[in-house]
Amino acid sequence: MTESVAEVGVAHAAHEAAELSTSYEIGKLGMWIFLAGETMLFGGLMGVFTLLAFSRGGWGSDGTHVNWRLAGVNTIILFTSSMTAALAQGAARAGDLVRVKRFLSASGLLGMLFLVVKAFEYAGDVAEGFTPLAGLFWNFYYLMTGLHVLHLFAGVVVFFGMLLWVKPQNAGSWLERKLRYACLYWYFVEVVWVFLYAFVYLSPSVQ
Amino acid sequence: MENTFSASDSIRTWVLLVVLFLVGVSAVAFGLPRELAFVLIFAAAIAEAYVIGRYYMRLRSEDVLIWSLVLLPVVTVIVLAFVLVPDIVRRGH
Repeated sequence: MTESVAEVGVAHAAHEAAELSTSYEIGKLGMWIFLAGETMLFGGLMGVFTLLAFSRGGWGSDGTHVNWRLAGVNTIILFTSSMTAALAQGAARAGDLVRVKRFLSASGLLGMLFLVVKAFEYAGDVAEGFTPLAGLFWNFYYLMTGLHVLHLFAGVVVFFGMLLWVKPQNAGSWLERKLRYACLYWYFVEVVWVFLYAFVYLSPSVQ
Repeated sequence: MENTFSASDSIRTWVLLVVLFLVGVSAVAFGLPRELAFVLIFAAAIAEAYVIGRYYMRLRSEDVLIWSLVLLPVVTVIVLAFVLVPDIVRRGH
């Protein structure tokens, strides 16, 4: 009797899972759940950063030393990489694998360019004495932008890794789906940067 | 919408994002008054996030489950930040 109840339970769970997988794309759902956690992570850091700024009456001279111009260049680079990612998705829908490879490579290379510009930015900050231990503002600056850099690096690895999957035997909805998940992540990293740019670069630079 | 987002749409979205970016940057570049600068910076950031969410992440065609996964963490972070206000602001740091 106990076994039959367990069997019924397992069968019911399997049925529910099957229903869920037909009504929802599990990969997409998983990616959105992951992004929800990431939103809490970055949102929490930005929230504390803002509250500390209020409690101290702003960031004072520390905030005016951030290189918002160089970070602005990076913003444009990231916007462009998202555009090429969207173009890669369009090419995948059309089944044009050559263009998928081309646009995916462009997104990855633009992501790498972002990291290079970021390295120059960090080098300039450190040369001026603004290390991660230079004060509370710089603690948060390096923590938040560093965390973002790690996320961006992961995205670049995924894009270049995906190039290995762009083959005629994978063309179709399978490739389109995988590309959609990767791009969803990339767009999220872009949204995080948009807010980091507002919180960490532009706001503290307002006189 | 999901299957009709074309190459020209992608480029138009990029142009829109760059225009919004320039609006936000102008607040610092032109030394606008403090309050106006903050409004412009965050309005531009929210608008950029909206454009990315709507056109690139295709949130417009998503259902209530995905929307709740987007909004719930945002609302939670805002509520938690407000809950921390008395502790952080009154005690300094």
